[in-house]
Amino acid sequence: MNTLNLYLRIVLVRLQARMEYKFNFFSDLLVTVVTSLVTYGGIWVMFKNFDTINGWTYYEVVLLYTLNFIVAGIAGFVFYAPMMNLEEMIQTGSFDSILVRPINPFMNLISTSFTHTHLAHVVTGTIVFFYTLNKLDIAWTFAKAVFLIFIIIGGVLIQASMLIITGSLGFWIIKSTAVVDLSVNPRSGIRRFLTFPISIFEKWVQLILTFILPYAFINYYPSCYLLNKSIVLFHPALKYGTPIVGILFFLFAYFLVWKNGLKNYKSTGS
Amino acid sequence: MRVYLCFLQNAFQTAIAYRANIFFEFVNKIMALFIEVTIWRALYHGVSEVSTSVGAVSLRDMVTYAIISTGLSVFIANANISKINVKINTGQIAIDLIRPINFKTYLFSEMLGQMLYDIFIKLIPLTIISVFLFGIYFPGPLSVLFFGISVVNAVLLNFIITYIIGLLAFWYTQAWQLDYLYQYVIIFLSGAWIPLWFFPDTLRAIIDFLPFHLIYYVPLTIYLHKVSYNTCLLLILKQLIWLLIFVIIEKAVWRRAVQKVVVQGG
Repeated sequence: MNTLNLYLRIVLVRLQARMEYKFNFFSDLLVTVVTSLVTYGGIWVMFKNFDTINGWTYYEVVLLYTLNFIVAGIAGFVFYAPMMNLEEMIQTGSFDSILVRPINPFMNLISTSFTHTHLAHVVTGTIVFFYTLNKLDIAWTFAKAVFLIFIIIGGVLIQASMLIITGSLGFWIIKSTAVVDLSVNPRSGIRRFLTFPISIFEKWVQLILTFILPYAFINYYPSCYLLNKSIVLFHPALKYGTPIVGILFFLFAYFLVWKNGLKNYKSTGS
Repeated sequence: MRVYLCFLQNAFQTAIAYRANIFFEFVNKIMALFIEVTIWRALYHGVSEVSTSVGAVSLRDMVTYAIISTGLSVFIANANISKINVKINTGQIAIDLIRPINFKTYLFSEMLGQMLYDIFIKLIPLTIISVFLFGIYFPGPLSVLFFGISVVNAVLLNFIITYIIGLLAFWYTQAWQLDYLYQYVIIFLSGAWIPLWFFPDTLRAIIDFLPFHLIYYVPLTIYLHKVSYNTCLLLILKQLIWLLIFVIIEKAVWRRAVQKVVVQGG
């Protein structure tokens, strides 16, 4: 809890520092908002010409994409920059400074930087999310509302784990940034599989996205739950899987990948 | 001329040196194309044709559109904006300016070098794989000719636009925003992702008024033979007129930019 407090304070101070340059800060956010509308624009144009995709309607697809969008925004805000920088830190030897401070190296690395532009994703996503929920006419219960929070947390953990795993590859291979990008970039890479329901893909893709790289738990399965979809891939129980998959995947990323990478680290000594 | 050929060769060799990047970019393109084709197949499920302003559009049209668009994106995109931005931020621009070379021609020859690399290393394998995996529509020889001309114009247009945006970094220090913005503008307003014939009329009218659709949409409609040969010629003429407009703008911007150079430190 102490480290978490420390992290929040560091972020707050850094955020204030960046906001000193008001124009830069807000123009960054504005540009990010505009660019994030491109995918929404694309979905909108597609549904001007087609009624459904694999039985999913326009607003259902928007909800699906938005879940992915918010989750990636939150996880990206915290983990994207540190994991992108890790490769260079290892190569230049500046990673040493992370190890000598008296706090957990992981928390230390995470608190070195964050990307404020991801905040714009979270804000835009949240607005679109509530707008879409309103349009969709979902029968809300108390349980559903509570579970929504767990869906978001679980999704953030899954996306964060992907960032940690791909970033930690920097301990073993040289070009880890390219892999990090492949796993989080909204316009290219694996996340593009999530824009539409994964049920449109062949079986082997669905299997990979469910059981190997569990991206489908970020938005497809929880959307099936929220929208009461009668057809769910593989097994209906997977609808509830997001929180547990998130926790397990995060434990895997932290203990098996990050910890091992750390053990493998030999300073370049420069 | 010789010196620019050296720049071209240099850019080609630099690109080849980064093998890991080649691999990841390639995987990325193939994956993106695979996703795009799957999306169109799913949308067309139970729908044989969609009627649009250019007539009926079939699934085969859309699969071809996605393949050709991905193919074009492999070599049309360039790194001008970020390149100029880095030069200005690091002060390297001062050295470029004292050299007895033309800055624009220098960047252009670097782009050509990169483009040759992209065509040989990425475009050709990508095309072969796509033809086998997804199947593609081949148009008649006249369409191919017009398509070729319009692609050359598209490359030139994209070069001059990115060059002008790059020069804006002389005034606006947050140039990464412009780079980012332009990439997304291209995805949406150029028809690189979704063909403009699917767009609602009012939006379409605005887009037609802008130059971006000349970069992707025009070569693609010509390839798919969605417009008559006369319209093809008109569209190519439109490209040339916009090119001329941008050349004039570029001259004016450049003249002011060089007077504006502020090199921080050194």
